[in-house]
Amino acid sequence: MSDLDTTEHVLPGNAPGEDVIFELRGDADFDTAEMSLSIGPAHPATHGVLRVVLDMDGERIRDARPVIGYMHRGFEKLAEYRDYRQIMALTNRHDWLSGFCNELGVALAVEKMMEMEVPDRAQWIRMLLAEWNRVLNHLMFIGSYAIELGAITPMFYAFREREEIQYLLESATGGRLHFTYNQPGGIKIDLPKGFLRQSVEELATMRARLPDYVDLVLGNEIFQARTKGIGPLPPEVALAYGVTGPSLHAAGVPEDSRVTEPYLKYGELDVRVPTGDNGDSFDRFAVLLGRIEASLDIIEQIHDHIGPGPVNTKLPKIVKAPEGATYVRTENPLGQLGYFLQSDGSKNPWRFKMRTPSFSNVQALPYLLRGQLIPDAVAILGSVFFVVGDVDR
Amino acid sequence: MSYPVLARRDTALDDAETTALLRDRIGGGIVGEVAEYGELTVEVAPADWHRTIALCRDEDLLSFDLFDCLFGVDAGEEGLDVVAVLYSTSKGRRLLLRTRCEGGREAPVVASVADVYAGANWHEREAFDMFGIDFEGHPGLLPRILCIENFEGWPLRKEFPLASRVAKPWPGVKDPAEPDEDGNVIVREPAIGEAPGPSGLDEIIARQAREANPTSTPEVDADQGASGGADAANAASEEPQREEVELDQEVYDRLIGEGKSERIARSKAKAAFIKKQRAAAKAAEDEPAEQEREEQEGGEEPDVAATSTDEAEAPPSPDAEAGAGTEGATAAEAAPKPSIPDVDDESVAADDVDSVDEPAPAEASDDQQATVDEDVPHEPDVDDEAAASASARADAARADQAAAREAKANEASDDADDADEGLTPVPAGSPPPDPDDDEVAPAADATDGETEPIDADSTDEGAEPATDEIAEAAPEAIDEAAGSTDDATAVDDTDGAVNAADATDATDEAEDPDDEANDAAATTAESVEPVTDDTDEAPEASDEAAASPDDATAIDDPDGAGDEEDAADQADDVDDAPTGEPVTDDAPTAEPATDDAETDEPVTDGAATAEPATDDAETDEPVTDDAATDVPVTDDAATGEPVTDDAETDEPVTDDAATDEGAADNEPDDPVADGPEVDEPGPFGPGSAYPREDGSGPHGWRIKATQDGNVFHTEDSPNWRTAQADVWFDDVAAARAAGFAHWDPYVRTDLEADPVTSTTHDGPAPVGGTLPTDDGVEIPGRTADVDLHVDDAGEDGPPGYGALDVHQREPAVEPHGEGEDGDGPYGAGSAAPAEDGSGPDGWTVKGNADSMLFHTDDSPQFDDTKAEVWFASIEAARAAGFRHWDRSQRRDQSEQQSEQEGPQGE
Repeated sequence: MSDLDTTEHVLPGNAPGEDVIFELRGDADFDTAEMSLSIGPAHPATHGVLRVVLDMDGERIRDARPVIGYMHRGFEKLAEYRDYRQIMALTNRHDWLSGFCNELGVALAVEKMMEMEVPDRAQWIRMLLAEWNRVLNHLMFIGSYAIELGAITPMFYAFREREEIQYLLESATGGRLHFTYNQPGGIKIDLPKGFLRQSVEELATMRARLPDYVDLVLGNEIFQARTKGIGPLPPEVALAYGVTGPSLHAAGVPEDSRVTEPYLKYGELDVRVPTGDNGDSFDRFAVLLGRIEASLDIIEQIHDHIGPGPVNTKLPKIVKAPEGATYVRTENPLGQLGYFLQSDGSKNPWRFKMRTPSFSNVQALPYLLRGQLIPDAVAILGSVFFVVGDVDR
Repeated sequence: MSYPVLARRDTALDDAETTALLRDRIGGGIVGEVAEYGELTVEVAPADWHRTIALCRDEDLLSFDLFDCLFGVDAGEEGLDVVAVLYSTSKGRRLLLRTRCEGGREAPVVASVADVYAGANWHEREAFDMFGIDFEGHPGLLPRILCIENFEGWPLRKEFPLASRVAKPWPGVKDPAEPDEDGNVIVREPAIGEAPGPSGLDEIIARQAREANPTSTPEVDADQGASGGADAANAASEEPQREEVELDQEVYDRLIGEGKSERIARSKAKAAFIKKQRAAAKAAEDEPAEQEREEQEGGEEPDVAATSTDEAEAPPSPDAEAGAGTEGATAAEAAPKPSIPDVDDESVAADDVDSVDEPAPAEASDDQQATVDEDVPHEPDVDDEAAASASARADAARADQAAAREAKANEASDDADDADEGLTPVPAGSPPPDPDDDEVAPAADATDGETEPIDADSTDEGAEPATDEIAEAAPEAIDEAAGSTDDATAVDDTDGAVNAADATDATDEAEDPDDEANDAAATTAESVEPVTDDTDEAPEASDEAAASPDDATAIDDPDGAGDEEDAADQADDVDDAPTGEPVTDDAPTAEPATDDAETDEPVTDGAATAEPATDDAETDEPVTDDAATDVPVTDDAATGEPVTDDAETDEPVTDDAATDEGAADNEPDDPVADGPEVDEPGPFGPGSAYPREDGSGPHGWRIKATQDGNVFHTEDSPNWRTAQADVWFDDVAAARAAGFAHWDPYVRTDLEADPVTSTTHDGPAPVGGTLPTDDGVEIPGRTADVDLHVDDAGEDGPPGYGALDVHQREPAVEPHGEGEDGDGPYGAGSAAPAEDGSGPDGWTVKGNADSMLFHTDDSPQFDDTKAEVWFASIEAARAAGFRHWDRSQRRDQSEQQSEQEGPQGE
């Protein structure tokens, strides 16, 4: 300890909060041992069984190697043994926090190949539930990210909201995580009576409570100190890695397939894409909150558009996609989800590739972690939003 | 680098321009392009793969800056493909690039693009992991990114089997990967534990699969059944039917010929083969006995049992194929019989019994004993009354059969008389136990005396001996008896009415018959299948006796209370006669005395019978009718379902066994209970009727109701076809009036009676009504009690709101009779609420028409409940068909109902 150079240098900076960042400067007399530190596979900051091997030089991260595959369940192989309706139940499991959005992608892909006309009401309902699912997902990360930074309370707030929304979705789909509510050509059954009214009420509740999160977390001094300037991700790097979703938006790229490649009826709505400036952890978190707000706006618009009508189309006994291949991309809560579907004309897909946002997001971790301090690693890990099931599939 | 808020699609190249540009820059490296389903795929030669992708990123007109993903695709024999998906955030365009790896399937290789897009690194690792594609220039494809380090094989290649599917076939009836008409199949043989996977992992999986599905030989099963009691038997019956057994080629060919699927045929053929083996084993054991019998019986007719089984089997029991282990087992038992023409009837019967027995463990015997005690007192009178009522109906129902029966009945009665005379002489072999013992000790005791202590065995033994006796004594009679038993069950299942005739016959003639009946019943009770055997052998004699006994027992059971006299008689008989064993003894011993033997035993049996009967009694209600009903049916029963039915009806043991089969659905209870009510207005009021023998309803009636779930099915119900109707209804209203709930929970409440307020909705059938919960808890998310203000938007409001809640409707209070005079909307003692929702003074019971629950003032939901109807008292609410909010209080209600129904039945 005596050798430790305790001189602290305040970094010059123009971003608020940056002035509280200290840099420990090791010199010749500051001996650091290189060591390899393994975070995970069951670290609470990793949302599943992800392992990150950090090559450390003292407190400094020289390199990081995410080790994935602990949750590999072979969904792509399993999908080749299932028909298109059964695949729905597979896909809402790889990212268990956005089950509805996942199965929506499959339905869109199958419908695209079968050239199905989906009734308007079904499309609106899909959008409605997808947006609620997005809010659900983001709330989870808002709560958990705060907990990873040492703030326990926001988690309770987030789960209070989550519970209400899950209750709402459960009343329509019967499921809390695995909804299996989509089917090729529409949705399984119509919304239950009174769902929209509940949705309206929940929308008001959420709107009223959203400022709490801003005050409680985003405006928190400690939170800002822990996240501002930490793990910046430049846009060109993010794009090269295929990082999408909140992390890409935080870097200033408003690439959101609801806007740039509108599916369903998103083209008729005003979809706002919040973006950040610095692409750091703080921005990523702020974008998450902004996306909740944007989703609530979308939900309100959907409430105004949704009308009566059928919710599904009559399906043949065996759903068969014609021969060929297609690629469907949807904006999932964590980023862009792509399904590549190649069919040989049978009832099972020949190849069903899941391009999951988490996989690409995690791939950028080494870039983000390199050169950072170990305490910041958690702040970075938590702010690159991913679900390990979505990484490993 | 600047990013526009929205992609500038107007600056993007279209498909043709894109390919033209690529062709211009790459030249011959662009092999082709496909534009389908809105996506442009450009095929690139592998040599130009890297160059093309770099161009796509760097060319300003393209500027694909977002690397979406890269993955392999199995192209079959032609090799392996690699597909890269690129996207341009500035142009809003997507491009799929596809190339075919060099090196075929053996050594596929393609250039890495990880240096172009950093994100390609992991995607290429994944493609290597899944397909074994080598990416030249990649910084490091190992370790495998998703699979474990030592994993062998390339999982996503088509030749790589899905190990779990190889080890265990798709558990459902239909496998999505099964061949379809297009011949698109993933061929797989469901043989267990033979996973031919390429890696050690597969072998491990396969071994585990083998261990999880041990091949069980029939001997093993038998041992378990003999020694293990209930648990072992159950376990045995639950074992999946997947052993590697040879097929019975005959059965297999026949089923295939009948158009069954290969899978079904295979399973049945296997079952048949096992059955044969068992039969052969059994035959070897019983050889001496068989010889004796052969002497007695002379030429045997073709096995009734066999034929019956065939018929029974004929309906391609879907359940069995469904794949459940138990079902499979039953199916197996059912199937084998036809294939065993050579085997002696007895042996077959024995086998059947065994199978039946296995499931029925010690519990059964216990039940029997317990029941016996209770029952004995009840049995007596029933016969007379039953006979009377039954005869009346029977005459009406089937005069023909009745006549025919009577002839036999007379004979039978003669026999019966003989039997009575013979009563005193107890069979030689049997040590007469104490009467009490007899009563209490059912078949089990008898069995004990003979050989093996185990219940299952006892059944077997009991069954056989009984058969012997019957064979000796009353050939035909037995047949009838057997039939009757079957009928009884059958009748129970279907209609009470039909079979009254025989019952009458039996009853009329029969005081004697009762005794005989007891015997028969006893036989039946003890050995379910033996009856079948009897049927097979059945000469002529004891028909009625046998038949009547069943009736008697049945009758006894139901009436329980009323028929003490007969019971007393029987009890006396019982005292005289030794218990179960005697039966067995008799059979061998006294051939001439056959009748006597029967009679004697009957007494004993009576005790035994009593048990089975008891079971029925417990379950059902007024069996009397059934008993009557049974006789006529006899013939039918004998052929078709007999074994199963008997089993169910007679002994609890049987029930267990039977449960597996489809027949299990017919629960004796309901039908029996129904029997008596068959009066004119219908069992459940006007517009209701019991199903006919074949389960069909009156012509043109399309609504099935099941008493199990208290639900009725209209034709659009997905379960309409499979539902076994306990009652048929003419229309929905009748079904509702009878208290049945609509199968569709969304339509539970009667929308027609309470029409929706808004009808702007012209889409599919409206989704409406609340989902009442049984426990009375109202789910806030469900909308029954939610404020309606949003709906007021109506047509003027935002387009969607009103439409969504189209189904909102007024509270379901019946419009008529808002009576203060006690004749309210739900009958006497009910009243519609006042404007403010309050009820008449002093009334403290609120009724919720949606959930059909009523809340007393001690209900936690009392204050929250909006009363749609007020009741003066709990009784009034119950009378109106409402259920108590407290689950524990509902039982009282049901008990009260059953008490009420009991006397009605008589």
